[in-house]
Amino acid sequence: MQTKAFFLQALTPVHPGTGQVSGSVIDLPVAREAATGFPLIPASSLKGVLRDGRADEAANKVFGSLEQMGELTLTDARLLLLPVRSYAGTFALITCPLVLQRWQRDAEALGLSSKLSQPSITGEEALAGSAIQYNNQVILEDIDLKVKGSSEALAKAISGLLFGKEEPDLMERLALVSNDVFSYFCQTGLEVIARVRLESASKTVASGALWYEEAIPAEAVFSSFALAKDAAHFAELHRRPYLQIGGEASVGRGLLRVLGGV
Amino acid sequence: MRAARLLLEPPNHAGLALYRYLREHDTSKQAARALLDAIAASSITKVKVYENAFERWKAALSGAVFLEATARTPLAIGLGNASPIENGLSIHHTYGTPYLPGSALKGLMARAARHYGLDERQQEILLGTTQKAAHLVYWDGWLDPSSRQPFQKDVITVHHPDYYSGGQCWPTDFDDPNPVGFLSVKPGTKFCLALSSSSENATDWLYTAAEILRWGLEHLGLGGKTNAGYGYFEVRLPPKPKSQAELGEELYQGYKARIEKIKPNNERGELSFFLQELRDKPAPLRKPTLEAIRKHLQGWRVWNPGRNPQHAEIEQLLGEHT
Repeated sequence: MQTKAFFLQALTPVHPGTGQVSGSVIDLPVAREAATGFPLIPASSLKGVLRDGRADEAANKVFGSLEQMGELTLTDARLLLLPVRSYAGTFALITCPLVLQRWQRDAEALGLSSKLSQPSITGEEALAGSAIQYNNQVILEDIDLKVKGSSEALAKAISGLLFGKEEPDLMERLALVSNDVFSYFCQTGLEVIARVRLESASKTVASGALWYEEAIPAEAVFSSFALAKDAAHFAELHRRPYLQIGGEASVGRGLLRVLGGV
Repeated sequence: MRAARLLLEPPNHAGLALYRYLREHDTSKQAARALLDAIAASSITKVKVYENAFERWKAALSGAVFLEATARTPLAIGLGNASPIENGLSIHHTYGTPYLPGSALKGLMARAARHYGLDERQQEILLGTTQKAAHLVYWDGWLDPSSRQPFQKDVITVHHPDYYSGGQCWPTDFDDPNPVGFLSVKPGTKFCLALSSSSENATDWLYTAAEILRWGLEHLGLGGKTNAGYGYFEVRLPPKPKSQAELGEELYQGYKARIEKIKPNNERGELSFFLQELRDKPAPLRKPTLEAIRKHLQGWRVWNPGRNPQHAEIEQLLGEHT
């Protein structure tokens, strides 16, 4: 079995919907992992988009048909980096020990040699890049975190995995925050978009036609793994450099860039 | 908000500043005014990361039609978004720039399409229905990084609050005016809009949609307060590339004189010249020229694809098209 790690970077907000109306203030929430509450892109969405409607013999072999299982397996694309509005540097890209540990554990289980360093952080502290620090603090939305050290080593490792080089925008914006803080921003720090439908004659909002949608903001990075009998199938991941995944596609959500070639 | 935060200047991210950095709700609205002044004075586009993201977004949409829309009047879009100063604005969550939501552009397109009198099939392709998704994607309009300082402090003054709130008393000259500050986008701010389609051969549709959207942005206005002159744009469209059929017509015009000179005695040589020229060209490109040759030969009453292999090839090349 061949394995490969790859990543998706959001260029526009992504709305992998749940297909259900929630009971909360948000009418259309994004899909989340049940246990952690971290947003994710389900593997089935990813696979459907990569298949791109093809039903020829070659595509059936890779993606499967009613008669036969496909030879390419994908895992859910989990959130690796979440952009959060920052007092300094416009936005920070945050991650947490749990996210890094899970990636490392999965990579090892799949026999991949890449390593991500596993620095620990707890409470209201952070390891941070240079652009997002203000007076030895990282101020994200309503949370102030004390800078405990630099995130440079971790940023270098992640940047290497994603881009194969040091990407300045990531290097200076990465923040490692505690699991609790990361979880908090996954619940409350996503983009909420108000939508209305207007009556065309009166230009007023149609009765009942105001709703709130949640989206994972642009610049988020997701990580996923691919498994296949034949490494040639991995070419499917890069058949197109850009993908559009998730709901609300016709108003521009879900443009993603495929990254990584471990 | 924590008390320590009150001492900080508002951040560079306009959205974060607007939503989290209002110092207090005083009755004279001093704090709101100071906050709006700070945002209007901030320059967001010095941030390199936004320029990079903008270029990356454009590169990702190869094949899209890009429109350049410059605000002629102030723009107030997303006024209804939740905000501590009561009036919001559509500000990009990650970058803090103003933007034009794709959903608003699509909604405007739907209104403009009615003025254009599009039939049901055209509307279905451009806008979709509840049964069928649109073939086009209306991307959010991104702020052009050349537009520095896109925000301005704006004010709407309610002159007769009692009359508007209850309607119990008549408006008079003795009412206290109530000025309400809000944030709007400055005239002259430039946005880059993109339309794309995942369907092949959609170029004509994209240009049709761009033309309709341009009309909407120039005449109907986008966002709120369009009746008070907000939200009108000046739009530049890219020149439409020539279609294959148009190029084919041009090719034919170039050969026209030569085709008319084909006579029985030079026919074989001329036909082999034309076949060599046209054989590998795409079908719509070669069609007008081949049709003209066929018509010319039919006029001479020498057209005989059953016997003449050159005639047969012309017939076959024309047939592939249909």
